[in-house]
Amino acid sequence: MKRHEFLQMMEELLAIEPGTLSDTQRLRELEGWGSLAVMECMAQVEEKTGILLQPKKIALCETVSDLYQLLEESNQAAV
Amino acid sequence: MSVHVCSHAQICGIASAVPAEVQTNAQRSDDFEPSWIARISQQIGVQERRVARHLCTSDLCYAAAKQLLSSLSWAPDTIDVLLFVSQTPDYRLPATACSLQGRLGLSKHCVAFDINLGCSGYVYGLWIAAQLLSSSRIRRILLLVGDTASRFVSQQDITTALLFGDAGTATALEFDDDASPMFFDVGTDGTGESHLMIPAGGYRQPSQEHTKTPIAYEANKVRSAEDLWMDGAEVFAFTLREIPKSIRSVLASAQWTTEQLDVFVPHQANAWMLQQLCKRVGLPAHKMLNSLQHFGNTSSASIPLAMTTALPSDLCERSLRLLLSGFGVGWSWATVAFLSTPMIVLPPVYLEETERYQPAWLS
Repeated sequence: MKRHEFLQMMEELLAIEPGTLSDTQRLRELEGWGSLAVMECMAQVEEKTGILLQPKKIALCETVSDLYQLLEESNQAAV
Repeated sequence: MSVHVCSHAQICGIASAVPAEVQTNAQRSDDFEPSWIARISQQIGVQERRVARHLCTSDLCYAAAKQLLSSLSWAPDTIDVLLFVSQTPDYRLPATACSLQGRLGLSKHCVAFDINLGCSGYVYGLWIAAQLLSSSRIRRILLLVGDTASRFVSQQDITTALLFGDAGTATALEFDDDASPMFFDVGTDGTGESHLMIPAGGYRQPSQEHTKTPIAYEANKVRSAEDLWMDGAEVFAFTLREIPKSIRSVLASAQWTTEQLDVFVPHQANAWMLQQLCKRVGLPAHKMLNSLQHFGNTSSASIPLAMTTALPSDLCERSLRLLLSGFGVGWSWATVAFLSTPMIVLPPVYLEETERYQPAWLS
């Protein structure tokens, strides 16, 4: 999954205006980022890439970029 | 464990009982923001639940069992085994199965024991019953399964307070030489114990003043160590990791395709998660039973409760290719595929609080 696709997916699931979510955005400052959004994110990532992100690793992510980094690392580990 | 085939077990009937008292999620607006209630209720697919105040799981199972035995015309002394599957027993000891054997007037030769399992408990109970019927001289088994989960959740924790309801069920199984084979997959991953648990009140962290004290972890998430803790994301990850494999393995053993399957009855965990599960195994949503809207997640009772409330006439009238899968607390799971034969399926008993059992020694 390309970075821009990931950002677009996050904007959709958080109901944020397209093109406004930045890499450096802190997750905890996003109003919609809670347990429901975490599960929706896991579901969409798994559906699109086959990678099941680990909840305890998601919990350690501070920013949107950290989350994408986790996806990249999980992707490499799976290869 | 690889798929296990049991050959001589026939399900003859299923009955259920729920508390008469209804609690709607909308009623909880004193405790939670209405917009949050609406959002969560929509995601989990629950509008209302049946809740026990003082009723015990055994009271619900007893009511279901009495009705079922009467409908089947099974005399109490013909029951060889009583299994009680629950996480909400009457006492720390003795086993509730023993109490129920006495209350139901079953024979003293009856084998009776408790099994402490939740979400996976019904299919686990079916597996144990089917094993006993397949490999011993046991002829009739009464499988009583249920929980009063609403009594162990914090009413101030939005994660669980809007989800769980209460129910008790009874399933009658009989030895039958001609019964269709049942294909079971049963599994455990105890490394997940901490994600769905009541941490205190047992013997590792005995009940004390501080374990009873509610703690606010976040807004809307207030609970004590004696209330249920559920990490929804971990439950979801476990479900996606293990359950599609379990389902595929029993379908492969039964040599059924998802198209040939008539009905899928999963543990009624929550609606969104079940949709995700159906997608992963290529099961059309219309083949899945859903009883969440009016009963919520009733833990171990959810599969038989869904069968008695969402599928009664089909189960009574014809043979069905059924797939049942229970999964959750433990982590523990059990999946079964089998061809049912027409059976007795009774509508739920609605039990009033006044109908709860009063043991003689307590009065």
